[in-house]
Amino acid sequence: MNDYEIRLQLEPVRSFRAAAGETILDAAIRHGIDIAYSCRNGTCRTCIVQVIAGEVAQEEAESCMISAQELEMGRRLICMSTPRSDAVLAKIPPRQSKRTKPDESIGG
Amino acid sequence: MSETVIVMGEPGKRTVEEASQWLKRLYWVERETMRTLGGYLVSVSNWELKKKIPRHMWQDSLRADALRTRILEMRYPRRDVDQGHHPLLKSYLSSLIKCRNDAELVSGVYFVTKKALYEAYEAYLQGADPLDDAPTVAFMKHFGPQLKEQLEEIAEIYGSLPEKSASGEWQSALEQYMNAIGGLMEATAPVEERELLLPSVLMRDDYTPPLVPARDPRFEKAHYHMPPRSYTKFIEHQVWQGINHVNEIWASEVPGLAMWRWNDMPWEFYLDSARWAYDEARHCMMGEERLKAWGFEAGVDYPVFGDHYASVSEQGELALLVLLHAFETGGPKWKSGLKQHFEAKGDTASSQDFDYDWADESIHLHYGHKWTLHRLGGDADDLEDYKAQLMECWNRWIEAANKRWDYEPFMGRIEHKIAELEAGRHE
Repeated sequence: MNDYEIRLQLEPVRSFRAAAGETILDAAIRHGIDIAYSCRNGTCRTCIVQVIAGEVAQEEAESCMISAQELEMGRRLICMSTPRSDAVLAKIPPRQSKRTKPDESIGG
Repeated sequence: MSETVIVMGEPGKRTVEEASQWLKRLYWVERETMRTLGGYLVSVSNWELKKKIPRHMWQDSLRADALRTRILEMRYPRRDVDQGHHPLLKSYLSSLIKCRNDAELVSGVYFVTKKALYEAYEAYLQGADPLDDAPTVAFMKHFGPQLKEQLEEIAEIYGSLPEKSASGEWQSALEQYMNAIGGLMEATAPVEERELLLPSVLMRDDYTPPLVPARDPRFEKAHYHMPPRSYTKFIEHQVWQGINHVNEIWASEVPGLAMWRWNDMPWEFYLDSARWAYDEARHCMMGEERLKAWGFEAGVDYPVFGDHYASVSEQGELALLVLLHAFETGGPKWKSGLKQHFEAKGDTASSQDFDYDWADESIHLHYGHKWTLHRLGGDADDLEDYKAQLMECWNRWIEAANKRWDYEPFMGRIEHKIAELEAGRHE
């Protein structure tokens, strides 16, 4: 069975191998990599990453808390993602806030 | 000649239509008493009552969910189950939150409404065909004992409430109202057919939740909850984390407030919020249990104060829920680290608490993302911006609070108790 080289551009950068069909999170844990995760079901979004290179499949995407738009942008929840090739993954960069909407009032 | 009819067994007593109408009424009462408890939780001052209510809200949500699921199995249109409730029943239920203190909340919600619910379930079961309506009977037979337990638990707390002697007028008025709408067991007559002469005590202004959560008057005054300096040794880390856990009660008050303020959400929101509120109260009790075992008394040896809540409450309940979600977003990494660290140090009581807390936070992150996004119209970028904005509010708030107050008398008491523990003088 194939396995793939996964490079996690977190702090610190770590590389490890994931078997085909194995979730990237399971592979990371198997290699003793310290990584934030929680639900292991694709619902808490703790492990969301940006795919920089390679092909990563979001398994059972319809039951995961990730939007079609995020998938389109190359984001994945690695607790429910499997590699289809070698891949490079990175943390999602913080946004420049553009918030202009009014807040709801507690007393209203 | 008339046709011969064989009458077999028990005569029919209740149609599917009658059963579904009755269950719909009971579902709505469960939903609204739960929302009342949620909305008033932030105003509850008695510490024992504050911790007890979220568990009851969760139980209420599960009973409501079982009823709602069953109603939809009984040829009942999904679009109607949350609508079309009788105006008098709605009016009665919306008056419950106009209570003015803990004792009135208890007397209205528990001693009048939940007592009537208990009687209604008993009556439903008495008239239910055990075969035809078996799926209802299967779950409803557990409702009576659960409500009885709630009533007994609350009666015990009620006995210690200082305002209990003055809650009689409120309770009598609600009992009168309940009778006027025909109780919970029958379909209420149209509103125009009744002349309701209700006691003036029910004509109160609408409830306004406080901007700073109520805390037990027996507690010492505090202005924030965490010690203003970092821990310098493991025993301090243990105590600091215990204090942090106890003060997670604010995170129970937030989903409670949201479920009351938002009356137009999908049913799953109320179900999730009740569970969320209960989990956070459990986390609070986890910390209190540990600190108590080490000789620390809540509100006396360490502060209990809703600082997170107070920091953004002027911005509304969505801001509160988004702030809570923002804090929980960093939770898994933090809580899993605490679990490992405390386990390695041999404090398995704390590490087990962190382990379960970490698991709870997984589902809370799901709830938080789903429902804040729902309120923000699905705009994920706006949610991320809002989280960052509110964390900035919190950071500014706590920085200012740290400058205003030196954490006394608590710091002195904590350091003294830690010295006692280190000297082996704790029993």
